[in-house]
Amino acid sequence: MAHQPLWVLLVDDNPHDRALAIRALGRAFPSLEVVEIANQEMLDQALAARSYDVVITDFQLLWSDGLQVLRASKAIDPARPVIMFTATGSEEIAVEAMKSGLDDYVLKSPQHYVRLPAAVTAALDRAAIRRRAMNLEQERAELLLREQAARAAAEEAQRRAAFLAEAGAMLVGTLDDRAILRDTARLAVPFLADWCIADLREEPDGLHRVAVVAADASQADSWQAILGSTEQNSHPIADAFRSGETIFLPNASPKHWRLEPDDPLVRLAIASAICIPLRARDRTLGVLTLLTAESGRTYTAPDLELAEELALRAALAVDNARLYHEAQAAIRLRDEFLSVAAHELKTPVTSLRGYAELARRQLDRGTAVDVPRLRRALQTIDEQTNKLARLVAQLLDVARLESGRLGVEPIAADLALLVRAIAEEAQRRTTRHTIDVIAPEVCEALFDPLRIEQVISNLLDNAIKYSPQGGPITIEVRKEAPDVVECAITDRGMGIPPEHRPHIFDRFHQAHQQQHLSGMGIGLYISRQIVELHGGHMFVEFPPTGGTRFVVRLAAAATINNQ
Amino acid sequence: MIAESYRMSTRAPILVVEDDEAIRELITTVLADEGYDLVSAENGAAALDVINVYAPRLILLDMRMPVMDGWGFASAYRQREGQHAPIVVLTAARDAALWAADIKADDFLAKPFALIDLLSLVSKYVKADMAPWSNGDDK
Repeated sequence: MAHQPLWVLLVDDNPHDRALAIRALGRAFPSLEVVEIANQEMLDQALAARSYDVVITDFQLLWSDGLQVLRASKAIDPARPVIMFTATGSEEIAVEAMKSGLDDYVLKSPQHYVRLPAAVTAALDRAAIRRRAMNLEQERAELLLREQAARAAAEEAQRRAAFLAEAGAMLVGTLDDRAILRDTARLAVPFLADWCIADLREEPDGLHRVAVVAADASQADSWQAILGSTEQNSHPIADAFRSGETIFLPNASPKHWRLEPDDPLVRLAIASAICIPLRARDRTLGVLTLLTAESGRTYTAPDLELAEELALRAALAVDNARLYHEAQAAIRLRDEFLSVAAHELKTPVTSLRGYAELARRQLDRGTAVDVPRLRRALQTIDEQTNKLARLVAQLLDVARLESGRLGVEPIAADLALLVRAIAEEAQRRTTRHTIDVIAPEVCEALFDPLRIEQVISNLLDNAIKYSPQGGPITIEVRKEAPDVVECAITDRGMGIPPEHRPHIFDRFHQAHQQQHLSGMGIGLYISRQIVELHGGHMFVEFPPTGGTRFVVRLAAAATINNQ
Repeated sequence: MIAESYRMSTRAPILVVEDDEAIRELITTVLADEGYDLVSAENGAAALDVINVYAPRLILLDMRMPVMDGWGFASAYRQREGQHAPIVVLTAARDAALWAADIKADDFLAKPFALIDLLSLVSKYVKADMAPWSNGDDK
């Protein structure tokens, strides 16, 4: 085993004595490095230059004494052994040196030189034991510190977990999005912030402030006017909303809020700020803003993490509340639809039942049958049966569309021919209206004839129904582009009230519900879906002269994108 | 529109207010067969016009109608001076009873109805062969 060199600092004025000491040590320690010191300057430099395994010093020095050397060494490394090797010492000096931490005392005389290596070895062993003991003590102290830190961290984690659990429990019980954000803001103060501001996205114009909560309630009122509006001084909030990214300002300054020096908000002295977008299902629903001011607290990464956890819970609660209300609205709409559909179905059924009974009563009387009257009853039954069948077909179409089972089978066919046939048939049913067809001789397009007949009949029926005073109805068929065929139906009727225009193609929407004219509110929805299943488009225009113009565009080319 | 079945008579007629042509014709036919005098209208506004000419002794009223619905008619009718005929609501709506209560109707009949139920309900308010003036509805 290769020996580490033994580094010895040897302090002695007498070169002869130093040589004797080195010789004695050299016999015992083959790899020996000795730094010889003969004055104060050398001592200071040597002690500063490196560490030594042992210091051997004479007591009487021309420039100092062994006690000073001992103290200088112990001041740097208390564990390093110091051996006094002297001929001039006394018992008193020896005792005083021992009190100052001297490891051994060896008399300097020819017969004692041999004792010096043994003293060094013993001192080194003691020093090693001392060092181990000191290391153990230090480890124990460090362990204690780590334990204390871990306990503090666990307690903090528990507090945070309890805070989030409370937030979760509280927010789950609410289905009002504004109340959710007010509760969140109240919960955040003062545990997480001196101020908490909550903003909610409200269509169509963006953020609305729903809560400003202050740790110091006496302050809240005076700042409410300034913080209560999203218009002012909310730039990091607006940035968080726009970007969907958290804005973290541990050291916030008025310039982050883009404040003028005379802005009242400067006096609030915001110290630290976190603006977190409330995100759920890839949408930003609002912003939660946490501020510190009077507490002087500076936000750290764990604060940010906790705030984001809180914001996530608030966002999910808001999203759930909105989904719940949307679902409720959908159920209400469906309920209304079912009620209207039942009403629509019962009307022909009332006639069917009544006329059937009327006919039977005639036959039951046993007198001569009034043939014209019976024929009229049967004719009405026939008409009402058709009406009922059409309503049922519409309901089935809606069910098929909802489950994706309504298919179309486009073929190349003459749209102009189809439109002329539909118009002729419709004209027979009305004398108040004049139905004009403007179409080329032939206009080939790709469509499912039965389904497109349904669409055009529906549009033409609507045109008749919603122009009760009569008047002209025009159906134009033309090539809109080399690969697009267009069919437009224009009436001069009552039109559609502007507030209903965005919704007329919605399922179950009835634009004329107030007038009890609207049927089941599914005709336009079905028609547009059919056109879109063809890969075509359907839209509506409102000519300045009044009335309504519905446009259907279909593919003219030999290819069609039909999924 | 005044139904043809109304014969010039001193008896006050039954007024049928119904927008569906087939149902309107059904009711007037059945009731005329039983000897009632009838007038009819296709919505509430037309019914008010009819009432200006003929004071009815019973009104059979549909609720969902264009131009003026059953609610509008009932409200306008009750604001008129003089005596008011009983109103029987005829509706296919799920909330027939509710709607009838809504306009303080005397009775209601849910569509689709059996003719016998229509007849028995009408006879509750009007005796077909009785001298109508004894009813006191007409002035």
